[in-house]
Amino acid sequence: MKTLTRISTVLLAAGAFACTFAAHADQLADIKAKGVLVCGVMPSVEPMGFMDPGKGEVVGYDIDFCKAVAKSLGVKIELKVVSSEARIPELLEKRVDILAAILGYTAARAEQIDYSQAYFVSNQILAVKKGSDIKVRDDVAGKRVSTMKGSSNLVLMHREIPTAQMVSYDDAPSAFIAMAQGKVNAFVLSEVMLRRFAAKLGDGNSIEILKPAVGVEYWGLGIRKGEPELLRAVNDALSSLEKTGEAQKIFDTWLGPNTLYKMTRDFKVAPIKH
Amino acid sequence: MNSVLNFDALLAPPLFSQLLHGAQFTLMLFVACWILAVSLGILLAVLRISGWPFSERLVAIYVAYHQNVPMLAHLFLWYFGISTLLPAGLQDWTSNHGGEFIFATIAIGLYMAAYFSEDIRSGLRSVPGGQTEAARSLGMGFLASMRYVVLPQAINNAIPTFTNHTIVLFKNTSLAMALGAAEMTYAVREVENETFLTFETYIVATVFYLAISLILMAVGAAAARRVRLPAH
Repeated sequence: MKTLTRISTVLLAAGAFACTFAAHADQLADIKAKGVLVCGVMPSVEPMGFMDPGKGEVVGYDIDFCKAVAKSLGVKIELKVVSSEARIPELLEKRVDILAAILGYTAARAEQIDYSQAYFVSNQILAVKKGSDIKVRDDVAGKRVSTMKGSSNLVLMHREIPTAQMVSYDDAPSAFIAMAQGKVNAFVLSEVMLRRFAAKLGDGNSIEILKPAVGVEYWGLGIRKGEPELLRAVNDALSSLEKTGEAQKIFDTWLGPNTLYKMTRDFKVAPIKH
Repeated sequence: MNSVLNFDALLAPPLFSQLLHGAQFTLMLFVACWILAVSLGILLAVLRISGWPFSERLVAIYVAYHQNVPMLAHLFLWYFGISTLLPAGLQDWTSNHGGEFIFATIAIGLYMAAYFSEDIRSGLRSVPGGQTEAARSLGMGFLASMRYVVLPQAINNAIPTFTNHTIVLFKNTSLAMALGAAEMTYAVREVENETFLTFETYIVATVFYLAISLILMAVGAAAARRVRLPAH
């Protein structure tokens, strides 16, 4: 495979990617000099990041955290919408400084980028159609389970229930319909998504939650490797958001008791355990 | 630093076998779709030139519908739509026996059949009517004039577009990913998502699709050489 490596290295060196090789000063200093923090966000997952049709801009939990970090660095924020496939290249090619894009921590992923402290902890839950003969979590062994692309549920499921056959769809609604139509036996998703579906479906909602949860996913902000100054500054900013109660406020705005999610915050900003 | 590409993880067992399965699925899907599309395409072309106004009209509608609605819409329609009209028992059966493969084959096969039928028809139409008349006046029957005069010229003319559409079909199998069919693009995206080795995984996909497409082109060129008529 040496040839393959050589060919592709040549290809990339020839392209715009070459700039990655260039030496540069500390990124935190660059950001402060520019006065702008460019933050990559995903526009497709309500309420974490989504288009507000009234304002015509992306808003949400992730966005508020990025804004708060920019504020504590003393710079302006510039939001850049990224897709789930493009988010890592955007970061590595320096088109964004930081990612607030539903980055669930896994050890393999952390070899490519650095994670900040966790600013969100997501419970990943299995759900089935009401009346299904699957009653508890481990009943899904050997069954077909849907999920959405771009999540770390595959890794989680592989660890917890390795015999489940995973089918991933482009987005959460497709994964949900596949379950509703009986194409898969169960659906694994975050508690936030599940509450959203339940609220949208109303009282007669036809989904049942399997206990216990499959596991938890720790979300961090993504930063390029080799930027210890920036990582430290971002982690300090997150810690102070926790201390001042700002983190709690952001949570309550998007997910709290007065929203359709009616969630209470059972975690604090904390380093992700490796 | 991430500036150096690293294929080691992709070429080690767990991820490599994931990619290999994807490649296998893609090739199987391609073969199944191609067989369906070509056989249906031939049937449609025959109906189109049969001289019955009704069947000609029907094929024209079929072709227009498939050429003017995006393939992704067809895939969703078959997988999430038409599949639900099947009897419950059959729905369960397909879900447990690779429904993704079955419906992707139907959607892509029916879609590409429209293109193949047009390729065949244009090949037949490219042979001037005088050729048939000459053959018949030499005493050949319908079948003999088709076999020795019309078809050799028609196939000769149809092969280039036929090859093109075969390659289009091959590349379009990647859309089956949207249905959860575990083909190459699906596997690549899954591996990318697990490892964040974005460049490396997409380079693997590019090399795979390029290699197979080039092979198909070579096969098409060889076929064209084989049937080439001395006069051309």
